[in-house]
Amino acid sequence: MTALLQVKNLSLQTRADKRLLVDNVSFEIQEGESVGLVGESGSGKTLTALSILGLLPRAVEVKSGEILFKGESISQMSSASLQQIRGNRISMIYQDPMTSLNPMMKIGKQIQEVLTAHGIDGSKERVIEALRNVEIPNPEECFSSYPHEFSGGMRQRVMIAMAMLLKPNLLLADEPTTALDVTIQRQILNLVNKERIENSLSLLWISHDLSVVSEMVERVIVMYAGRIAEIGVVKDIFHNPRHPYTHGLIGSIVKRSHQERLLSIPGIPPKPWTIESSCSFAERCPRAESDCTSQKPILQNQGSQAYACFHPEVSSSW
Amino acid sequence: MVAVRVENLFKSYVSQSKDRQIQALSGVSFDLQKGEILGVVGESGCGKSTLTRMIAGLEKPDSGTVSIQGKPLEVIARYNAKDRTRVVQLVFQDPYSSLNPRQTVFQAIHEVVRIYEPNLSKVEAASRVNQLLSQVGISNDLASRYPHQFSGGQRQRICIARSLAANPEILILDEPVSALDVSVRAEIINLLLDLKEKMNLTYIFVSHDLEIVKHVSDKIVVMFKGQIVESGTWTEIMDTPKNEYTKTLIAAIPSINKF
Repeated sequence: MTALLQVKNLSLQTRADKRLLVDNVSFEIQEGESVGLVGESGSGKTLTALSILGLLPRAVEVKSGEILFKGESISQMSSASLQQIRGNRISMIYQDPMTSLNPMMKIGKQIQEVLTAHGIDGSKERVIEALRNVEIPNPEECFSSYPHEFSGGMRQRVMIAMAMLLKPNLLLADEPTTALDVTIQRQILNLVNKERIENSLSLLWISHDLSVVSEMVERVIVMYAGRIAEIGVVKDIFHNPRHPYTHGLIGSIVKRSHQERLLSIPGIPPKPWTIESSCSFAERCPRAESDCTSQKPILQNQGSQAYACFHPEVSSSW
Repeated sequence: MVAVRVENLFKSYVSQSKDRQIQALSGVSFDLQKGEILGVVGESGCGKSTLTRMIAGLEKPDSGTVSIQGKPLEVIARYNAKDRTRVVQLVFQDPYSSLNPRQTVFQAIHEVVRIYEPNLSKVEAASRVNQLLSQVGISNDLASRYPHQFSGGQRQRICIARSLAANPEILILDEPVSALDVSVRAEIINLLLDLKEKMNLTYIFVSHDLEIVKHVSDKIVVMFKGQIVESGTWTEIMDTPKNEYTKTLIAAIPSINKF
């Protein structure tokens, strides 16, 4: 069976000076599967997600590669047919719901817009039902309220209602709980999981928060400086990371005894376009040897786990 | 020795539309011993920031007192604002917005050194700046750079160096690592723990990241709607949470240890 989403050798660059931002990224998402995309700021995770929707910022262009949704190439699609998929088959929720909602428009009307944009009659009842589904206390009242009248958590619920309205196959979630309090985050995580199970939804959960990712997904993609460092099921990534970057990342949040110093990765990530012919992690890597700076490691499958490293970790003790 | 004593603090604000009273703090009290780290947790709007701003003397309580090292803050502040800031310093969440973009790192720290140690000669002041920078792991030859030329983690180091320029006893760390990437977060936490030990500092550590609060704090207070609803060591709070909000909070912590 073909995967629901296939990203094949995707490379992105800046339009003006052709600087490489995302380098040869490939992964698949199966029907009903939830996948986590983990990385630090600037690692290319959000750009990768945006290119799935054809929503790259104007300054960024696709250098090579393609994205297939249900076997059909999204990259080749006309904007009209892409519009049919966007918001309908694939939808997205973002970190800050306030900037994704129109502050001048009542919430009910904004949700109705999603329906009319896809040529569906948006009755008030249908919208209220959608708001009720995301457990908004007074959906009727919410229908005629403005976004600013709601808390961050409630606004994110509205965004989820909007994203789930047309029962998409794939939900892209870009740090949707980062701006929220822990207790509210918990409610949103539960809500997304409920939607996922009820609608056999596939999920791409983008985050830098490893503990949230570990709860939400089955498989994790770790990105570093525009490349995929490692892919594997949650259990392997957290207990047996092979790429030294993943190892360091997990190590920095692994339980230490009280006030003991945490493991850290010295240095900062390089800009993707400056490291085209070497391993992106080489200069910070404790395991780096001469081949790491002269050659670029390719992502290699080792059973269910894949990593781009010449000298992978053998045992995971921190 | 008690470094900070907060007694029965009350504070209310009038809402922007002037039709509501917002009770930011209603009867907050605690003691913090010298050399301890107090973790403050609670949801947004629970009064965490009001509390820290009061301890730093940036905000006056409606009633109640804050004492720093046995002296009521009002007395210190009335005498000399510099004496107050000398003892209590703040480090904020976003290091970029707390540094002047048009000042080099050297200038930013030099300015503070000049305020607190006006008797130093030019050369002495410069070497004090360099010493502060080395203390936080910023190489001296980077001192002539501007804030935008540094990474987020380095900027936070610079902010920490600047706050140390006052030779404070107490540092209020308001979400000091929340804006940082995971891999640099650990470095800053380690630096803070090292500095605390070396200089026998007292920290008030505000964060919504419970894992980090748990890791660094000697004592934790949980705030909810302007009150301290729970206080004690992490284990005391975890094992026998008395308050409903604390229970929800504990249940909400995402954890990789489930695997």
